[in-house]
Amino acid sequence: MKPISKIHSDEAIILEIRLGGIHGELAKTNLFRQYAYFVRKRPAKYGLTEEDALDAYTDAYLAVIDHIKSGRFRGESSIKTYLSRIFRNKCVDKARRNATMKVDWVEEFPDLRDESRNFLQTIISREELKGVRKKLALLNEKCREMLLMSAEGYSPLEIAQKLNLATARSASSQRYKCLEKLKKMMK
Amino acid sequence: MTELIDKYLKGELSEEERVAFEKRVEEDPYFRGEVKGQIKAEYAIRTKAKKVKKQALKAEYARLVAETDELRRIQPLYRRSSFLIVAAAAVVLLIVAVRLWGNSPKMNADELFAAYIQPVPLSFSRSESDTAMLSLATAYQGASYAQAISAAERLLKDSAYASSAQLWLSLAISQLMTDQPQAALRSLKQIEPGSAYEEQALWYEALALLKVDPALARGKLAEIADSGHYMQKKAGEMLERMEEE
Repeated sequence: MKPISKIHSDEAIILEIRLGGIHGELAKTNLFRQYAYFVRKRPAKYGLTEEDALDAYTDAYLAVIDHIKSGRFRGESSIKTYLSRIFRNKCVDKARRNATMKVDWVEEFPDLRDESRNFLQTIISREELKGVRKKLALLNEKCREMLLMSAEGYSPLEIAQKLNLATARSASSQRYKCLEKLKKMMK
Repeated sequence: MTELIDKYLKGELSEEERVAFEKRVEEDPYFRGEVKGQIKAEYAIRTKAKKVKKQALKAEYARLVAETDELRRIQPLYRRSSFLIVAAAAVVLLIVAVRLWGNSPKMNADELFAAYIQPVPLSFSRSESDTAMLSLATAYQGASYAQAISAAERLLKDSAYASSAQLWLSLAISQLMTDQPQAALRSLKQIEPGSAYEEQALWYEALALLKVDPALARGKLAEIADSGHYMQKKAGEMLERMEEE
């Protein structure tokens, strides 16, 4: 697979992703496709299959989207360089995981401070988190959709628009109510 | 309490608040239970959301691979990457070059158009709920350009999309592919200067002009060939091949 000719400037991609909506979605898809050739040009030294490399690429891409939205990506390098660096790190992680089969659960909480990571690992083990996903099925559909949208990085305003809620504030408060419900089910 | 734990998990507490939070978790069994419950809930949601998203991205990758393979299949010989094909092409080119030394083959405007027109791959949102966009994507990517025109025109009537450069570009290309260069020129004029698709618009404008007014097309191609445009090389090549008026 060859690189696709560049059809969006970095500035346009960043702006559209931050603005969200249909154009944001298009920009995200274009970004994913633009650098998907990384998968085939993966670093050979880690011995990853195409499937593993695709897994690493999707992880890297999702991290970049998250960093663009949160402002953590400050445009000091091009998106291509930034994505390529994260992709390389994810390939290393993937190779390590393949060797040890261990995944640290706190990886799902990338915003946690380092001190908190160590602390939380002392109060909750990986085993305790097994099977928790099944409990999502017990939630009503609206709550499930709202929580999933929030986890996918949609802003309260976007959630309000998609779920026909009056304001971003009501989306936030309903999200907390849904989270409360799910939390009770986890006890 | 849910909001406080949420802020902690998002790293939004101050250093003092974080220390107090963790102290409370150690000392208060009820609070610890709340934190553990919320972590389990968040973990369940985040891993589920990630799984769904990754499945969609992997499907997008599979589509991209299929499209690329398809493009490679219909690409002109000189753009294929296989070593043997490149080597064979080099030999053929060498023979042709020797025979046509100093006499590059000329083409008229219609022949040039046919030789260089190729729709740019565009990706559209494929959200199941966005049926209008989905039908445009399916028609455009499946080369059903008449259907793509009506789908794009329908979308552009919606004020939310009326200024979408990507939609105007897909409409213009579909019009060119169905031999409607005048309509394509009108669509391309809707793409604002400075848009992310400005370069594509200029390239397709030059191609449309080949059908309408070759002298103007020559001017546009010269503009592209003199700039850092992504089709600069191709435009130069076309100018060399273009017959004198």
